[in-house]
Amino acid sequence: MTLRGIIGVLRWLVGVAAAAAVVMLFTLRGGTSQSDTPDAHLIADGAEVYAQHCQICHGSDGLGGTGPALSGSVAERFPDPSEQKAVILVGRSAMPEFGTRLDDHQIEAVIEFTRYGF
Amino acid sequence: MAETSTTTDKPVGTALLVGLSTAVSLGLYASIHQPTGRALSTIGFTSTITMKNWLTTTALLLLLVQGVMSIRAQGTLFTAHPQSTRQNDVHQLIGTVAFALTLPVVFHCVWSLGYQTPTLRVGLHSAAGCAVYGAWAATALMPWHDQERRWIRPTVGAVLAGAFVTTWWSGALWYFTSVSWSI
Ligand code: HEC
Ligand code: HEM
Repeated sequence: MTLRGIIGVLRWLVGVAAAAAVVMLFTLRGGTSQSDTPDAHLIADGAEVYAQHCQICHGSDGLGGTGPALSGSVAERFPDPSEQKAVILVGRSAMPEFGTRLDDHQIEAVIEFTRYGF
Repeated sequence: MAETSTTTDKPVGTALLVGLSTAVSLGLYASIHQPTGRALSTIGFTSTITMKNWLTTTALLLLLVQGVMSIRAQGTLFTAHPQSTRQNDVHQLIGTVAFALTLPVVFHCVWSLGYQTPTLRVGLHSAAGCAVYGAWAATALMPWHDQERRWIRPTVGAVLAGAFVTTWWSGALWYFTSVSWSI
């Protein structure tokens, strides 16, 4: 096949894929988990992680101690959860990094807990 | 993108119009669609985020290859007139592959996250992401040669490149440098 032929086929395939993506965008439902809808299971897991790893500094009610209060304020400070995740993963001044100590699920869970669980 | 209602050259006008409406409808849909917060598939990567980061970065590298080839062949970037049809073909081949790589990425951006503006970075990302697709639609439909307005195609190409770099920087590079490089 010539280069032009290959490009023609490829463009056709990619066009179909793009059309499929558009159709999926309109038709696929996301199920229940919504970014702004707290997930109860995740919060429960997060409470455990929090008690084990964060409470000493941020307080049992999230009202602060060595570290700042998190209760009620994190969702405002970090409208974007991935920025909150960044702080937890890599740390910041006296806040230790947890990226090496917690797995992805534990981190997602503790974020959910600090945002919606106190 | 420039207004083109006065254009006499139909294909160029149509291409720009399609591009503009692509960008606007993508943005509108991303704003009104209820974000699902979910991933459909991470095609082997450890998470949606890492999949998006690496696919985007690969696509950016392909666009860089296009740029380097264009500089080597013509000494310029974004020229409307490639010197050979072969060069034109290779450009299209690479562009098509890069476009394909971005499809799963943008699908998850729009379906899962939506148009968000909590910070300047994320707002820029959403807007630039829409502009990428608008410019892409326009370049794909636009004739290579427009005798009267040689600047149109290069301009759309430059918008595409600029928007793509912005999208990559505010999505992938930010994540790489402030969170992690994991795959
Ligand atoms: C050793 C004490 C310590 C522990 C343990 C700790 N933190 Fe922190 N944390 C801090 C300090 C101190 C800061 C403030 C850092 C600064 O000044 O930049 C902080 C800041 C934060 C912030 C940013 C708050 C803001 O308003 O900017 C978040 C989010 C956070 N911690 C979450 C957590 C989570 C989740 C855990 C458990 C996985 C945790 N921290 C464990 C001390 C701690
Ligand atoms: C060329 C098109 C696009 C590419 C290549 C792209 C790429 C990326 C990448 C690599 C990320 C980082 C991974 C992540 O946080 O999930 C990201 C995040 C994101 N994208 Fe896109 N994106 C594109 C278009 C869009 C569009 C059109 C929108 C919405 C209108 C959008 C909205 C978002 C949002 C809200 C985030 C999360 C940002 C954050 O919280 O840090 N993206 N994108």
